[in-house]
Amino acid sequence: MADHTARRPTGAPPQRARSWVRALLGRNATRVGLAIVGLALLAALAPGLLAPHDPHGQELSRRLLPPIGLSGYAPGYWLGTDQLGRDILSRLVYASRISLLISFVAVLVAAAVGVTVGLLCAYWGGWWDLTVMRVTDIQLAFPTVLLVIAIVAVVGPSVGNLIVVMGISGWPRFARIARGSVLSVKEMEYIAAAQASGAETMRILASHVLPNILSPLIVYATFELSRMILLEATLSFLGLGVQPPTPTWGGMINDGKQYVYQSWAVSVMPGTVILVVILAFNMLGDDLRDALDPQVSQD
Amino acid sequence: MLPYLIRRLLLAVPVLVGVSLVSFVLVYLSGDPASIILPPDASEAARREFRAEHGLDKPLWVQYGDYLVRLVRGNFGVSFRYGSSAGDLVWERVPATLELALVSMLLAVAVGIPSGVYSAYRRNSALDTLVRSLTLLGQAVPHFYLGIVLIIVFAVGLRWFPTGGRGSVAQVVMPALTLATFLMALVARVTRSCMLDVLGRDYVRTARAKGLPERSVLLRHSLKNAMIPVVTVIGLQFGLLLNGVVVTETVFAWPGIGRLAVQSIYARDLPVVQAIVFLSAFFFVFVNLLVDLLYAWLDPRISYS
Repeated sequence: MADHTARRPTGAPPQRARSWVRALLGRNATRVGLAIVGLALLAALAPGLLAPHDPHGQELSRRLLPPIGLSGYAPGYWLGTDQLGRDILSRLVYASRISLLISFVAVLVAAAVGVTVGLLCAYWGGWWDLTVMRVTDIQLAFPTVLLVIAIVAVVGPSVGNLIVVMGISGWPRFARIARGSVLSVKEMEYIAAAQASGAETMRILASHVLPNILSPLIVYATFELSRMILLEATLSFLGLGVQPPTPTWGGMINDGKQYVYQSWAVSVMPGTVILVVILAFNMLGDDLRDALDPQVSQD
Repeated sequence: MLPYLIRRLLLAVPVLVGVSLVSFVLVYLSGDPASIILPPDASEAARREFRAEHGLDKPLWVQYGDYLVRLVRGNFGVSFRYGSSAGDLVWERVPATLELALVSMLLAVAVGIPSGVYSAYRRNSALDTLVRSLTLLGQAVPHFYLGIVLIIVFAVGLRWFPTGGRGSVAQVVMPALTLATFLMALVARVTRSCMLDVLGRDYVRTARAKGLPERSVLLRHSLKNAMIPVVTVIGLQFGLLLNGVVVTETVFAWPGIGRLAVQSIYARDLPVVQAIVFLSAFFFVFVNLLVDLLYAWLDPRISYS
């Protein structure tokens, strides 16, 4: 195992960069993954383009209608309607906005905190490194979902709070990965050259070290994104996400839970969307890892 | 071995102090308990009395000190909602959660290890492809989604199992399956990759060359050596099962600590939340230690000195 974990700096020359992009896009699985992620992003950025109805439009006379192909289906309401007669498809589209926004920004927060702390650990070493690594041990060892739920319940489930709490739940692994990568880059001659020419620590870290450790970080961020989407969905399923009437994927499942005897579609549709999006990000992460840096271990 | 054990136990102390600090701050941030517990029209005198009674009028660091002393004595305070000991409330729910966790664990091991072994042994066969696809799916499917799909298919549709509750064997099937799926997929994947690693080793070739029956090569010589990472994964996941327990117990109305946690959070019953957070951390540290010891027992090459 040990020989696989050594991380190689990947300052890839341009022709190699083109070849990994081509290799990546040449795979069918990757294309499917990219298409799904693209669709989810489009839904999040321009929900009006995809949603056939108003996500808040209630009409009790058409509540709990089944999806297309089943008897009782109302034309135009492809995935059926929920307990208040709102169009499920439109709600899914609008929900992607809040779910993806929170997850993306939470990953950014986690990465920003983790990478900064990790860089400093590797560069300074000493007691700072020891203390921080001990803290990451503690946090990684702890079942975070329970703690995140408890904290969100106390500080209140606003978009900002969710982003901060979820982001903080994700920093330790970024710190570990950044630290490990830097330790392997640190001894390279170009770093010594930059030091010899009198560059400051921060400058060396930002312009010489960081660009050379990006690939493992990008690969991990892709996986972290699917973890955050799941965490956001879990919180909103438990009623601790962004509050109604704003639609969230997890919240929609929770709504549907009470109507399983009348209609399966209300909870199964958003659940399927979550599963498919998570799978797509995981697949992309796997492919990115294979393409960018075959030597990075799976951890 | 003993010095190692002592060192590990000492290392657990800062972890638990950290968790106690977090759970203390959590309650502090949640606002004045007097206004949560007492009726809104309670007089200022009644509020003062309440604060004095619960030590809430002392400086913060004294309150934290009191809290630590109480924790060491196993006293987690009094539940706001039930008026009884928060620790007892949690302990009452532990058997239910433990039952669910153990059944899930058994299920995951009983399905995950054989499929991982077979998948590695018949690499690239149709069954291997199936196992690998299922592990990918099993690791991505959220607990709440799987739980509700099971309810819709097996409780609402086929009426094989009840939708929730605890007591009969039929009631444990769906929650255990929900909780086990992620772990099953993980165990199968780790078993497969470790078996692939081991099957290529010289000692396996030697065993085969000696003319040992394939069964013995696979089980005695390969599987035993491939088990070390698998045991680590299982041990670490046993603590993390708690993440899934919260959701699974909520979906199936399973009366364990996960559901108690969610209910207490809704009811703002913070002493109970505190007790659950702290006890689960304690449990986690303990399981990690056990896994490390098991590790040494399984792999004599590892020495803790």
